[in-house]
This record gives sequence, structure tokens and C-alpha cells, in this order.
Amino acid sequence: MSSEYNYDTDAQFFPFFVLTITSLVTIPLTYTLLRAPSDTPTANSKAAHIPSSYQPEHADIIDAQRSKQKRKELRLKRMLTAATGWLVMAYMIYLMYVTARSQPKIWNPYDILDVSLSASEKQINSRYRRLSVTMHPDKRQPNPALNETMETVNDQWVEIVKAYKALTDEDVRNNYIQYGNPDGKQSTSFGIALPQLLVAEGSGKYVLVFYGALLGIALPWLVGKWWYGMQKMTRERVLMTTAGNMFKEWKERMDPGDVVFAISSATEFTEILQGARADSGLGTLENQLQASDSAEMSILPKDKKKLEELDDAARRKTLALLWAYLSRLDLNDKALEAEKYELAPTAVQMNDAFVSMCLAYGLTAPVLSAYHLTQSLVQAIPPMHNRLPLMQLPHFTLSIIQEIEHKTAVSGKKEHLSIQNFMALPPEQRQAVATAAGLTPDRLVVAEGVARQLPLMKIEKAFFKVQGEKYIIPSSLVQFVIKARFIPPGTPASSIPPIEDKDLVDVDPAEGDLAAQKQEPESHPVPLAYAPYYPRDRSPRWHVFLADNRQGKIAVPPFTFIQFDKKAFEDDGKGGVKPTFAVVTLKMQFQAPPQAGEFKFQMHVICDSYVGFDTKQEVIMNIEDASKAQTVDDDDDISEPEEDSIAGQMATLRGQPTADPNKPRRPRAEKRAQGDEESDYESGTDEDEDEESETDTDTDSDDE
Amino acid sequence: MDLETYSPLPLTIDPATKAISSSDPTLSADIDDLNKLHRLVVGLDTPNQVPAPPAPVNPKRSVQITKLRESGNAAYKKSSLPEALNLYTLAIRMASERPPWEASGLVREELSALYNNRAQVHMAQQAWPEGACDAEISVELKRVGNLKGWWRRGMCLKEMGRWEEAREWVGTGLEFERAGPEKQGVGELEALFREVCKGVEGT
Repeated sequence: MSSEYNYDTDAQFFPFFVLTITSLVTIPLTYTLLRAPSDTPTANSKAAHIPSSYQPEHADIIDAQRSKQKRKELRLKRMLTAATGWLVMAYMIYLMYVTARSQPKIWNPYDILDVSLSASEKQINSRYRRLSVTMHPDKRQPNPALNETMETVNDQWVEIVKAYKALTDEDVRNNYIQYGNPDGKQSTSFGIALPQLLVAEGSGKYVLVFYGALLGIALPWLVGKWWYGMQKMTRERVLMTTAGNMFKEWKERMDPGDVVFAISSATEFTEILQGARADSGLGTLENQLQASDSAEMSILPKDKKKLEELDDAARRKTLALLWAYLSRLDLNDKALEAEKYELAPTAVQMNDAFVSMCLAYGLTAPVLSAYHLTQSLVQAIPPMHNRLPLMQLPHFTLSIIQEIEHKTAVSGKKEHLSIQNFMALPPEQRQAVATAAGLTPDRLVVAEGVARQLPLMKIEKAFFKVQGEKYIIPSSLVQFVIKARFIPPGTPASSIPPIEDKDLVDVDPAEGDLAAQKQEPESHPVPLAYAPYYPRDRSPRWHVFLADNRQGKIAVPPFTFIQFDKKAFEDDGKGGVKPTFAVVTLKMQFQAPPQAGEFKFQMHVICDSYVGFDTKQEVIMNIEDASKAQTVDDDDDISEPEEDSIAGQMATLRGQPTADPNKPRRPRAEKRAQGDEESDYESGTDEDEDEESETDTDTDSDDE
Repeated sequence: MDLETYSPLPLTIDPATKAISSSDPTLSADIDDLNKLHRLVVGLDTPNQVPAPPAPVNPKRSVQITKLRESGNAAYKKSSLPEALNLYTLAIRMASERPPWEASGLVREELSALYNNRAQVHMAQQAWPEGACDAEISVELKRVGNLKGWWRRGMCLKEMGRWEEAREWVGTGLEFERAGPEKQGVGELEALFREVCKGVEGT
């Protein structure tokens, strides 16, 4: 049978179609927009800022970079598309609601003849006769006022006849009952919610072309773009070419300068300094690098030599800009300055990828150099072997620091003065030394204000343990627990509360206490890093790893901590933060070596956003022999079946033991564990408490 | 490196000695290495000027180095320290100029011992910084079983008043040597360690 396709000539069905397609696109888009926070690597919005009145030079450029990044993260284009999609959907819904739909008329013979539903046959007949007098085409003139033509008059008369027939004539009535229409079985008709013009004569080929383009060109292009985009990146979201380049630059002995050189090989930088910008300004840049004093001191000769020997102009410019950024060199050119600040966050990202590469090799020195470079990049401090931590404080310049160190130099110490040590000097001495070096007192106050809010982690106790056990057994899952406090530099000793012993002990939840074991520790963030030269918000991270000093290799790979289980800093009401001195716990798990003995490790705790806040400590792990493991009492899980029960009968048949009311009930494993510790000084009468009375022979005393 | 473009470098070769030189200063390091290698290969007396395998070591050089070392020792015993210094320096130079195809483990051993001796000479002259440097090199070449090296640098640092560094250094040395082959001699190092700790507390 032929099928009829009714196209949407009345333009009433297309809203449904458009609504469906638009919602298919808009709803996932909106979902990805709303899901944004977990995607972006920026700092937790809950974390506070460390305020200060200090503005570095070119603060406007840095702020411009920051807002550019924020705008990119806002993903304006996506939001716009999603908003448009929702608008279209709303309009469609409105249309659907408003359009008076032409009802598919249910053919109702009673209405046509204008008789009531319960009319008798005689009434129908008489009605028909009366109508035929007026409505028959021969007797009717088309009335132009009602828009009637001869055709419509004929049609109406046909309807009346059909109606009469449907109610009287047997065959027609059967048709009507079965198919709802007196003409018999109609062919199926389809309604298509698209405009008629799509199937009109000439437009067929355009439609074909459109579909062809969609399926043959747009779809493959989209899929290809997605697939090759994924293939281009490694797991750390770094381009493959970059990973290859950085891999080739790895050496056994690397200092941070070498790491800078390795990072500069990243292809992402050439994308940032696009095309024509790739080597514009290179000449002036290099001249300035050569000429300036601060660069003299910041860049080692060997690094300079490496820069000069580079052939590739884009890479040369990248490296030169990185060194300029690290030595806080003032390039007197807005465009260059903007580029310089634009490179820094990418450099940190590349460095993170490089750290994972170094970890794969397992040698400690490159990993440490890479972490130190991250610190230097965030704070814009030259990454020489002995860095100047005081440069992190506002208003401190190289010359001022040199003066200060000169005055306060402790003989025998090769290291530069760290913030902690500087703030540990008595205030009058600090004041005197700073003023002598050229720092005005109010600037010193600003610097001290910032220093007092920096999160310096002080390790109170670090130890190994196995959850639930007294000794560490070979190949067990060991937890390395660090108990630490955040004590900012310059906090007077009197305001630091003493530590209570109970804070230093890590209590495991009891064996059967599933709720306590499943409980997730709270996570509180630390204030964002104070880095006025870094054009992004950065959460400081702490990396803890264990190294083997003798071999120079890493024994336990780093664990990273961004949030802690207690609130370390709280709002002090004046816009800044003040420490709470709560003891935070850092835990990492790894597998113990398979031999027993004493193992010495060098623990490194590195804060990756501040220079000079690292801790190095020796920790010893004692692994006892496997025999010392606590034996789990496994024969009280299921007690022997009672004599009187069916199970007991079956056991007796098999010859297996059944519960004897005269034997003592076996004590539970927990009690036994405690009993071990207490058994030294307690008599054995404790265990007898559970024993059934030996004189009680009544079998009913056992529970069934 | 761009593998698709060929850029000819400005090199000239001297017809007599066949040494390469260039007008481009950035290439000088590579060219020097090349020339040195060339000279070494040319100076070989093996047939066809092919470098010998590393296993049976050509005794000529080792003998010479040992001779120099012995004369240095003799001079030191006679307390003619400048002469001893010169002899040791010469020996070091000879050992470091070994061709790269000879066993490198041998080089490390020789150099470690030589630097140790030279450090001793410096200490006798009370030249602590030089002594510290030489001892450090010696230890870097040979970490375990080099008690004297650890001890010497620790001593020099102590004499220079760098207590913190000395303590760290001697501590590391103890860690390495305690498990090493010379366990018996650790007592001296430990004594030094105690001294240094006391010194740190003193400052």
C-alpha cells in the first residue's frame, strides 16, 4: 500500500524537532560548564589570599595575564553557545504551547448530522431528509461570504451522506467502527516535522549535498580532531614532542640551571610565542641579559654559554625570557614583558612533567633540582645553587639582601639567610640591619607582615607504623605518619602553644569499627601562595618522599599534600590570616622491603611554592622478623556447633568436635590482643571469667 | 637539531698536522675534543692504528703513573712538599689524559689515590681549602672504602671552622664506611665526628 508523507505545511510540528536537536547539544554543554571546578587546576576557591600592599613593577601586566587566564577559564564561547541553545529551546516550547494545533478531526457522524448521540434511527432518517433539502449541491448556492466554492459544497454534502451511511448502512457502519472512517481502511500516513520545501523538486540535490557534507566531511573532521588531539598529549597533558625533548635533556647530575634548559625545549612555548613573535625582540632581549648586573649574578656562565650556543631562535627566545623572568630583569618593552610573564605558568607545568620523568629514573638529585626550580619559578628567584630566600619578601632587592647578609653573616655558614632565620633575629637588630641596608622602616613592616603569614611547616614527629599492628613486618603495608604544625616565621615563641602528647599519637580505629575506618579525614586548604610575580593563583603543595642517601636514589616516591585534616590558618579579621597551631597529620603508605632489619632513610619535605621552607631529616624504619606478627585468632569466628542442634548431630556423626558445655568458651581475639600487653602484670584469672562453671551440666544453658 | 637543512661549517684543516681549526668560536670546544682524539689515535703504535681492547691494559702509562706517584711519596716523606706537589699534579694530569678507550674504572682508582695523596700534601702545608677540594674529588671518585678521603676533608673543614658542613660530611662518611670494607678503621672517623659535634655546639 502506498504511504503518505505529510510534511509540515502548516509549520506546527517543527518546534518539536528543533527542540530535540538543540537539547541534545545544549544539555551536555551546560553540564560541562557547571562541572568546571574539578577540571581546572587553579586554587580552591575556599583558600584565602595573603594580602599585602606591595605591588611589583609591571603589576599591571601581571594582572592583565591573570585576568586573561580567568577569562579563558570562564570559557566564554561555551557559555555563549549554551545560553543561545537554552534561548532557542525556550522559544520552541513557547511556540508549541501557543500554536493552535489543528486537531486531527475525529470523524464524528453524529456531529455532522447534528443529532444527539442517543438519537433513534427514525430521528436520524428525518434529520437526513431535512438536511438533504438544504444542503444538497443542486439546491445550494455557494455563498462567497463564507468562502464556499462549488467544491466545498460538494464536499460537505459527501460528508453528510457518509455520516448517514455510517449510522445506517451495515458495511459503512462496520468500517466506521473498525477504522474510524467510513471509507474503509486508509493507508498509513506519516507526519514529518520538516518544511515541505525539502522534498520540493529542485531542492533535492541541495539536501543531498548538505547531508553528504555532514556525514562525509564534518563528522570525520570532528572525530579526527578529537583523536589526534588526544594522541598528541601524554598523560600529564604535555605534548608528545615536548616530552621527547625533555627526556633527551635528562642527565644524572642536574642543577636547576640545567632543568631550565631542559624545560625551554618544550613545544608549548613556541605556540605561545606564535609565529612572527617567535623571534622578535630577541636581539634586545639578549643584549639586556648580557648587560644587566642582576642577570650577571643570577645566571651561571655555563648556562649563558648554553644559551649562546642554541641555534633555534624560538627556543633561544624562550630560554632568554625564562632567565629574564627568574632574575626579575626589567625589559623595557611592554610586549616582551607581557610575553615574559605569560611563559611562567607554562614553565611550571612543564617542570611538573619533568619531575615525573626524573622520578622514573629514581635519582634524587635531578628530582630535587626540579622541585627547587618550581619554587624559583613561582617566586621569580634565580635558581642558583644557593638561592636567596629573602627575595620572596616584598621590597627586598638583591643589593639590600647582600648588605643584610653581610652584616648578619654567621661564620662557617655557606647558606644564605632564610626568612625564618631573618625573622628569628631580635626586632631591634632586624630594624637596624634593614635600615642600614637601605630598607625604610615602613617597607620592613610590610615585609614582616607578609612573613608572619607564610605557611612554614615544622615537623614535630615522623614515624612508621602498620595500621593495627605493633611491629612492622617485611612486605607489609607501612604507613609513614608525619605530625607537623604550621608556624610562620617570626612567631614569638611565647605564642606557640605546647604540643600535647595525644596529638602526636596516631590512633587507629578499632578492628570492627567499619564506620570509623571508612570515615574520610577533613580537608582544609592552606592560604594561596604569596607570589606577586606569578600571574596565577597557586596553592602551595608539600611533597614528601624518602631517599636512600648512600645510593642517591629515591626509596619511596613523593606523596603530595595540598589540603590538611585540620584548619591551619584562619581569618584574623584584618584581612590576613593567622595560624591556629593545630597539629596536622600527613600520611603516606607504601610497601615495606622484604627483609628484616634497620633501614635508614633521608626524609625530604619540599614545599613547592616557597624557597627555603624545606625540611630534611633522617628517619629510621625498624622491620621486625615475620614471626613477631600478631597471630589472628581465627578459631573463634565460628564456634563449634552445639550438641543439641542438628549441626551438632551431624558433626557427631562425622566425628567432629562439638561444643562442650564444660570447656571454657574461647575468648575473643580483641581481648586476647589486649591480654598480650597486659598479661605481663595481670594474673591469668581474667581469662577465666568467660569460663562456664564447671559444675554446671545443664545443657540448656547454652544458647540455641 | 634540524635534520633537513645542511649548513656547511667554516672549517679549515692544516695539511701537515691534519688539525682542524675554525673561525667560528662556538665550535671551539667540539673541535678541540676532535683534535685531541685525532692525536691520540695517530699516536697509537698498534697495527693499523686501531685502539687496543681495554682488558689487557697497556702497561706503559700505568707504570709511568705509578713511578710518579712513588717519587711523590718519597718527596713527601723527605718533607720537600713543593716537589711532592708537582709530582702528584703531573701524575694526575697523566692519568686524566688517558685515551677514552682504556678502562675507566682503572682511571678512577688511580685518580682517587692520587688526589688523596695531594690532599695530604696540602694539609701538611696547612692549605686547608685546597686540601678540602682534593679530598672531595677523591671521595666523589670512590665513595666506599675511602676512609682517608672522608677523614681528610672532614679535618680540613674543621680546621677552616666550617662546623656544620664538617658534621654533615663526616656523618655521611660514617654512613658509607660503616657498611664498607674498612670497618675497622671507622674508629678514627667516629672520633673526628665527636670532635666536630662538640665544635658545632661551641658556636
